[in-house]
Amino acid sequence: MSVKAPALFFAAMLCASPAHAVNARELMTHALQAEGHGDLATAAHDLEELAAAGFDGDAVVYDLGTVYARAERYGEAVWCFERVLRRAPLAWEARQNLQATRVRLARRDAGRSGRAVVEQAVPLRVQVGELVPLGWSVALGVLGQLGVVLAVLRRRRGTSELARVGATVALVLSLCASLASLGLVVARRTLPAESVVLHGGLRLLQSARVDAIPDAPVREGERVVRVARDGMFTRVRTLGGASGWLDGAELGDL
Amino acid sequence: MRHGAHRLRAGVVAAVVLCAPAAARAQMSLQLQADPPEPAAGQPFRVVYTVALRGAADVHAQPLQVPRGLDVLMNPPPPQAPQMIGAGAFFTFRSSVTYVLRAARPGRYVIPGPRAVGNDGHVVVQGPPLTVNVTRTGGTSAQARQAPRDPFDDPFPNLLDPMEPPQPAQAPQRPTGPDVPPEGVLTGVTASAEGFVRVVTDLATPWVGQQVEYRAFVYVPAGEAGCEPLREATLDGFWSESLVEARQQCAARWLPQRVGSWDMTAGMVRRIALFPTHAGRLEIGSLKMGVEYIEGDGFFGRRHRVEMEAPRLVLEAREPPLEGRPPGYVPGTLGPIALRAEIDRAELPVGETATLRVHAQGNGYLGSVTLPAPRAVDGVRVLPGSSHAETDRSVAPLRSEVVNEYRIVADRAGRFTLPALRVPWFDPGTGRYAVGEVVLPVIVATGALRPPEDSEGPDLATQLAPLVREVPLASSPAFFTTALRVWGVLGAVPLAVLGAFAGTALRRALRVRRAAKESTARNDPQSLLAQADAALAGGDGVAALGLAARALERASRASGTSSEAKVAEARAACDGLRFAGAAVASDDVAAAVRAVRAVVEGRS
Repeated sequence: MSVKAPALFFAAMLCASPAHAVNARELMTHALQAEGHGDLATAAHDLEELAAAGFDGDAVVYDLGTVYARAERYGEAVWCFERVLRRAPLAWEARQNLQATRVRLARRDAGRSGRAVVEQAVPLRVQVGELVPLGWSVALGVLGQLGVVLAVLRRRRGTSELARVGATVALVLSLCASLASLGLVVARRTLPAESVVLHGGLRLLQSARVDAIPDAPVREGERVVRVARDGMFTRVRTLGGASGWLDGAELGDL
Repeated sequence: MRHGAHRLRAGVVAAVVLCAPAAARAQMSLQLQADPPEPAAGQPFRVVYTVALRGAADVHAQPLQVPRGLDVLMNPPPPQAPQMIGAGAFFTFRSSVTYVLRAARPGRYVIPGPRAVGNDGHVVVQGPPLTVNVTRTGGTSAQARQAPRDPFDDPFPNLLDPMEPPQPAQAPQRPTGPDVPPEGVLTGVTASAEGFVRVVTDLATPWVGQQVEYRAFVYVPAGEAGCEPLREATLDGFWSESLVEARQQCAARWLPQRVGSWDMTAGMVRRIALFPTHAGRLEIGSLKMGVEYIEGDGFFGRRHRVEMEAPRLVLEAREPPLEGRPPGYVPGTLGPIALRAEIDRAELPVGETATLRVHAQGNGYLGSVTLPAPRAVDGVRVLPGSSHAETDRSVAPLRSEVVNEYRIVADRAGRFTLPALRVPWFDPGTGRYAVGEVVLPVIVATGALRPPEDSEGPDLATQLAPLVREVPLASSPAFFTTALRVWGVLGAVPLAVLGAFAGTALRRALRVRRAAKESTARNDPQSLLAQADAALAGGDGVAALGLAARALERASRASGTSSEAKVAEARAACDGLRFAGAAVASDDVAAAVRAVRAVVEGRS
């Protein structure tokens, strides 16, 4: 008996087929093929797996958002495009797709409710904070500071009047760049914790309970500010000022 | 015998008070009483409007305000208090008139409290409102058999025995109505002889969504009391509807109650319809009230203020059973439910919208339940619209009507029959499920779908850019994730500049210090003489002499001395001047230094 058990174990180990691991490139190719065949659910699933595995670069998230938008999962699409634009403000295709997704969503809601949809603009402070990524602001700040130092040195050692004027202009520009970068960094660092409502037909709950009394409705794709958390529920405040609790699984954090 | 002594004492007191000057104060009360308290619909009933005045006052009672739904069959002028100047404070004058009313339909009617105004037109007295519950068959109340007292029988009821009210000839009949405290064992209370609050519910284990009536009574050892709510009961886990007027703080009617050996009166202060929103243990928080009443006689009595707190109540809400539950049942949907559907136009062009309204009537919780929507069929889209609910508080238990609107859009021409709408509900009475059903109207769509006017090309506003095919598979670079990294990188350049400035300054300071040290480190006679010259130039003669003496000493130690006399002479000159101290003249010091220099240079 004592000899049989290890023998069976080794036999099983030898006979067992090795686990087949799909690498990221294959998964990406599979997702693109599925999208080409119109199988949007499979494409979205593959891209979600890629993002969950850590390959959440701008291009992958952009593709995922585009697939979501084509599958009419507008809330999740808005969430993906907003994330891409926060990282890369110059991603014009993501900006175009975000705009198109919002228009589609508004038309769908208007068709369902029979009323025009009015979207609230985000506050100016948030717009400034989202203007450039944090890395860009820091780089601008460092360059501005270096410019200030070099301009001061150049101005002290300048022999001609033209060189001194040029150094002064460079000093002023560098100081402006440094202050602007400082403002951008502060605005970015003080951004409120925001999320996007991923699904439609939701209402804010009056308390953090599964059977709580529903209150004001929230739109799919709407940006909300996270105020507090209680277990699986998150207290949010909409741009319109309404507050209430939502299931955390219905929110995508930005 | 004892009764006779009582009368004698009362007569003496009355005589003394009558002899005393009358106080310039009055006490007035207005009261409404229905007879019978629960009349039947369609049958006339009486409302007795009584004015009681103790003392003298120039006030006028206002006519009764009869609410809508009640027909006035007899409408006499309001009762008026007699104008008796100088009347004694112990005489109570009563006057009453009787109105005859009739309600066409059963329900709950509230007659506003009667009011009396002074000469200046301001309201000086207001009585409690009267709630009349009109039933279909009429109540068999004991008060119905007790005819209202005719004021002409005894116009001065307290004249002969003002200190002790006359005892009724027969035991009072028990009143009925929603504001009557339940009989039996006193539960939901912490009893006290000074008064207490009692809370009761009519159900201990309700179903989810079933109405529970919560009532709170104040018991006081006085005829009536005033209330001030200190803390309302918390109602977590319930949908609630107040059944009394929102501005009513205290009881509208006080009823005599006997609690053990205490004679008290009780008044209902809260009446709320509660609907459990989920199953499980639900707690109704404690209610705290400040109650003020007059103990003893209304004129000589003592004013008491007591803070009363009712205990918390716990209910166990039940979920309807899983056994036999029809598919699509929403917890909290209790029946019976009546369904009705209507459409604004049954025939419509293709692509246009018709509005379908589904009316559902059920219990008071129905407004909080999500009712199922009609199912679409091929060729017709059903889009959700607005929804609103109204609760009827005039019936018990409460009833709600929910109206859900749906937009119906036909995509092609034809005759469409939407499937019947089915709403499962649970009957708490029988403990069984049932299904309400309503047949939806047939829709006829005509014409063809009109193409959009601006459909010349694709809608650019909704065009999505294609996917990125060449995707670099990398994680998102995010270095600046902490404040330390951000401010560390931003502060690197300023810190470097500051460091460079600090290093330069430090290096310069060290260089100066080193030069000074090197200049003072040399100790040969020539250097000492140079330092002596510097000290002399600075006005420090003593230091110059000291340095010159040191230079002379070092020079004398050197080998090859030729003139000991010159050395001794120069030393003596220096020592002499040094002993002279600060009073020495600078010219003498300069001469001494010159002598030393001559010796030193002569040897060198």
